[in-house]
Parts: sequence; structure tokens; C-alpha cells
Amino acid sequence: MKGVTALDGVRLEGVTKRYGAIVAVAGVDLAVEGGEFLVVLGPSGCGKSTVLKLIAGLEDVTDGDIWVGDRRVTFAPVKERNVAMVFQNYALYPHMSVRQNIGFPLRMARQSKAEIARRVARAASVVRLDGLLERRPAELSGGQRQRVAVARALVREPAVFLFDEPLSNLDAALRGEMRDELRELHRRLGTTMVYVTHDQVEAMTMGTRVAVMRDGRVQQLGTPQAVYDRPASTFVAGFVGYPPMNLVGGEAATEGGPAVVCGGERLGVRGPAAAALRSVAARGGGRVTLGARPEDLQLAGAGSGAVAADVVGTVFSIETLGADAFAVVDTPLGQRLRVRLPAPPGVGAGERVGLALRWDRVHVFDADGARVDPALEPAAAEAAAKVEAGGGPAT
Amino acid sequence: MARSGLLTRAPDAPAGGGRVARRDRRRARWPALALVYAVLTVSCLAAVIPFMYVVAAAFKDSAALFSYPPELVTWPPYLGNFTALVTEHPFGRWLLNTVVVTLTITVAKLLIDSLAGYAFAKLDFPGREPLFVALIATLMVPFAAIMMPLLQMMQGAGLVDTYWALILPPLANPIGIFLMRQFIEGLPGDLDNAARMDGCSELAIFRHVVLPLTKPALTVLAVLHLLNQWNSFLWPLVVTRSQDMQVLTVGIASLKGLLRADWGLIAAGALLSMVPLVVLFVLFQRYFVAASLFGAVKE
Repeated sequence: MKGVTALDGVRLEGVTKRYGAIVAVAGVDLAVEGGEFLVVLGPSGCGKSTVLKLIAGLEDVTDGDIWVGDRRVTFAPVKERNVAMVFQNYALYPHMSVRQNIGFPLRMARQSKAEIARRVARAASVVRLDGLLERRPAELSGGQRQRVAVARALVREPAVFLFDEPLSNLDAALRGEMRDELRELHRRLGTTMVYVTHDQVEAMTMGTRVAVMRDGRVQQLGTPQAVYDRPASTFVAGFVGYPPMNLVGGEAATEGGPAVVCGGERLGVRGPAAAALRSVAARGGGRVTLGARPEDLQLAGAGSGAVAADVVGTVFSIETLGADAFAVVDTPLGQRLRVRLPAPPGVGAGERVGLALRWDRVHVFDADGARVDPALEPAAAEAAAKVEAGGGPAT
Repeated sequence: MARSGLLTRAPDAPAGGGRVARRDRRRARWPALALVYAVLTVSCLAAVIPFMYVVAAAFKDSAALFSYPPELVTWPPYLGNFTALVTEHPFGRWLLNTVVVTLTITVAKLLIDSLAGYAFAKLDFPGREPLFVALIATLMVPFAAIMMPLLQMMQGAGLVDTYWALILPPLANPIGIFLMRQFIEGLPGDLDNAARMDGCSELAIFRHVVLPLTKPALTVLAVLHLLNQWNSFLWPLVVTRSQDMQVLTVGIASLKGLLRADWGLIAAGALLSMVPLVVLFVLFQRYFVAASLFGAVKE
């Protein structure tokens, strides 16, 4: 196809999709590099599948433009976009054999029988379906059906693959296996892939980059590690990572050292978070949210490297996962905090424990839930440098 | 599927319950079982006796038919009714007309119903819902109310006493469109999206994906249309004039004269008119039963 190569990317420019009064996708700008594996991550109803259908041409955009490679395909018919899609429920034709399913796009393109046979055999061997070509979809396992769906997409040799939650119908073990296979497939083909999921494990393990969506907008776009380490909003912080990040909301206070007052308690803030808090205060103060992942909290006063407690609470429950455990601790901050501990955890439900935060890993979000990044706030960082390194003690 | 009810063991029964306990349970259920079998037997006889009576009457001459005491079966069977039907009346022509009209309507209706059902189920076009509601509303108009206007239309078009008059009006029956729409709506939406991704036009989606998947519904519909048309009486009676254009139902009814009726002849006609349907049912029984059960259980 003219203007389209195997490494064409996809570009969305201000793409909006409305269904009557409902805005499913609101002005999304997204550039998927050629050969990239982009994962679009978000909860149900965030518009991620709609984005995929807009790229595929299964839905018409209300506003904006879509490009595949250097071709503007905003209003191009589905079959002229050179994209292939794998659906959540596989969407295999139940009345056709595996061979007929895989060869169907080629049959519709009026390819010769010999060409169809050759390409079907090749696609089937890529996804290890060689021995199953005469079976009907009903005679296949979930994983095998998923492979057929992938092979049907492969056989067209498209410029872009679109995956719409393709593993969500599989059990956990098979999902892990298929994740590996799809990653391997991307490595071998090097084709641009856009993968939609609500499963953050898939997003973290498969994507070159992750676009986190909410309410029809892209909240954050970055590498999985960057999204995990530096969430752009409280939503991303809470959605990416399991268990989710601990988020404690309160009022910013700077008198007597930077602190957050929550649930009537004062939590002294130190490190880069203090600088961020000062920048919020400089902007007029108000409500802030502190975020800390379970692994960025530790038990205070335990072991040789004992640290001072930032907050004291009571263990509500212990969740043991084998290699490690999570202690759910009731705190006077009005929040339950999850703390990651090595297994066995050494504490039990009902015990009083002190919690210390790794302040260099604590995140600050403003009243709108947006990340306050001290690195991007030089004045605040400077001010923070002058502040005592210790900050306020445990409350 | 787990069976339940009177004919199965009570769920709280011990797995290896004693013989005495089993016998007691059986004894306790006996009146209920007897009632069930009695109702089933009466229903069965109510369905079979009229049919058997027609079969018996077809093989009796007038004397035997009204003899007293009545004979259940005469031997040797009297074949004069069948001979008279074929030689003295245009039974062959009636049969041909019925076959032509029924098959044409059935095939045309399946095509119209499936195409329209697909359009109403899957295509997004302005006025789709109001149009569908209007179409379904016509189901509530009794045929008697539109029969005369319809006849006038046929007269105006010069179609009375032609195949067109027998075939065209029944094609407007929307029940099949309704059934097909409901069935096609139940097909996963991603299937047609997948077909679109695979390069299908709307017609190709219908032809290659939807149509093969609607076979069960089409089979049910085919039976429905076939039976409806084969047994259709009122409209063919009104719209045909000559014996050459009459269908079986009208032709057999015409055997009953104003002053006398040859019941043996009528029974023979009724019996012969049933034969094609019975043969069809026996041949395709497997498909009919499978189709009528389609969707009844989770697969």
C-alpha cells in the first residue's frame, strides 16, 4: 500500500469521539512510534477501546485526525488502513475451520488459493497452530483460540496491530504464557502494536510505553517504569501498581516546618516532598495528597537499621503472598496504609507499629490531583534546600 | 442437564438408600405419577384420534363410512376415493399450485427476512427504530381488516387468479423480520467488526458471516413459513377464481358440495395433502428439532 511501510507508526491529533452527549474520547493526542509496543491502560469506560476502534476505522471520529505512517486515514474505509485487530472475545468465525478463519482476510482480498495456503501455513507456524488447522474454534482451548485470532491478524501482514484486551478471557496461567508469546511476536516482527488493557501487569510487562487513560483523556504517557516511579496524578498513582499506592490527603502547612495535616494529625514532610509542599504553599496552599508505595514504607524501630517512626498505627490485617507480605495498618491519619514486608512479616494483627516513610520516594499531588514535581519547581527546590534536612518528627 | 420433578429421585435421597425406603418413596409418588400418565395419555389420544379417523375415512366408501355399527377399519381398503380425486378433480394441479406458491414464498421470505433482519439489527441508518416499530405494528392488524382492500388492489393490478396474487401479499408478513432481527442482534458484535477488519463489505459480512450463523433461525423460519403457506386457506380462496389456480386447501374444501359432501373423498384429499409435509418432516426432523432447541441451553 502506498505510503505505508512495515514500521509505520500511528498518530492521533486532537481526536474526539462523542456519542450524543457522551464524550468517549476527548481530544486525544498520541504518537505511536513505528515498531513501538504501546499499551493503552485504563479502567472500564475510560475510552481506551474506542481509541482502538477509531484507529481501526470501526468508529468515525467526531473531531481530529488519525495518521498511519504518512497517510491521513481519518475517513479512510477500514480495509484501506492496513491495520489488523485482535478482539477481546477472539471474534473467530465459528462455522469456519482454523484454516478458513486465518485465510478469510486473504480470501476477501481475492488472493490465489496457492498464496492463501502459503501464507496461512506461515502464520499458523508463527503462532504454533500447525496441527490444528482443520479444527473448528469450538474445539480449541482459550489460548489456542487467541492464537488463531493473532494468526488471522498476522496473515494480512499489516503495518499496525491493534489488540483489544486480548488476554482478559484467559485464566491467570495462560495469560502469563500468552504475554510472553505476544512480546516475543513483537520482537520478531518489529511491527507497530497498540495494545489496550485494564490489567496493569500486562501494561508494565509488555509495553515499550504506556498511555494511561481516564475519562477519555490520556493522563500520562511514558515508559512503564516512569509511569510507576513518577505518576502524573493521583489517579495514575492509584491505578498503576498493586497494591495501589498509599494516598493520604490533607492540608499543606509550612509553619513549624513543611507538613501535611490530615485527620487532625500533623505529618512532618521531608526530602524532595518538602520542596514540593513548599511550592504548593507558595501557590496559595490548600489541599494536597501525599503518595507512597507499599515498598516505600517500612516498620520503624525494627532491626539494626532502625529508623524513626513518621506515624504510629495498629496492624489491621496481614496479607501474605509467599515471597512477601503486606501489613494493613490503621493510622491516625484517617487512612489505612499498606506496608510491604518480607515474609514472614514478624508482626501480627492488633500490634502497634511505627511506620517510617522513604521520603525521597514520597510523591506530592496538588488539590487537582496533579503531581507536584520539585525538580520542575526550581524556586521550591531552592527553598527546600534551606530547610532543615530532618523536618518534623513523627506525630 | 439435571432432570427434576416427579420422575427423578428426590435430591435429599441417600445415595445407597435402603430398598424399603425406595419402595416407600415410589408408593408415595404413585398417585402423582398416575395423574401425569393419565394427562399425557388423554393429550396423546386427542392429537392422534382425529388423524387416525381421517386416515380410516380415506380408505372407506360412503356406505362403510356411515355403516352401523361403525367399522374402525374396512378390509380390503377402498381406494376409490384416491382414484376419484386424481381422475375427476384437478388434484395434481392443486398440488402443483401449492408447491409452487409455498416454495416461492418460503424462499423469498427467508431472503427478505434475513436481509431486513440484518439491516435492522446491525446497520445504523436514520429512522431505523421508528421504521421497525411501524413494521411490527402491522402485526396487530387482523388479516380480515385488510383482506378486502388487498383484494381490490389485486383487482386493480389485474393480478386476481394469478400466482402473483397468491405470492405477493404473504411476503409482507413482518414476523420473520422480527425473529431474524432478534436472532442476529444476539450474534456477537465483534464478529461483524472482525469481518470488516478482514476486508468484508456489508453484503459480504451478511453472506459469509451472518447467514451461515443464522442457519438455526432460518430453519425454524422455513418450517414456520412452509406450514403457514401450505395450510393457507382464506386468501387463496378469495383471490383465486378458476380451479386451475386453486391450492390444495381451497380445492379440498370445494369437494364439499352445497347439498352433499363426500367425506371419504375429502378425507383422501386431506390425507394426500399431508403426505409432502410428513415426508419433509421425517427427512429433516433432525434439523427441525435441533433448530427449535437452538439457544434453549447454554453451550
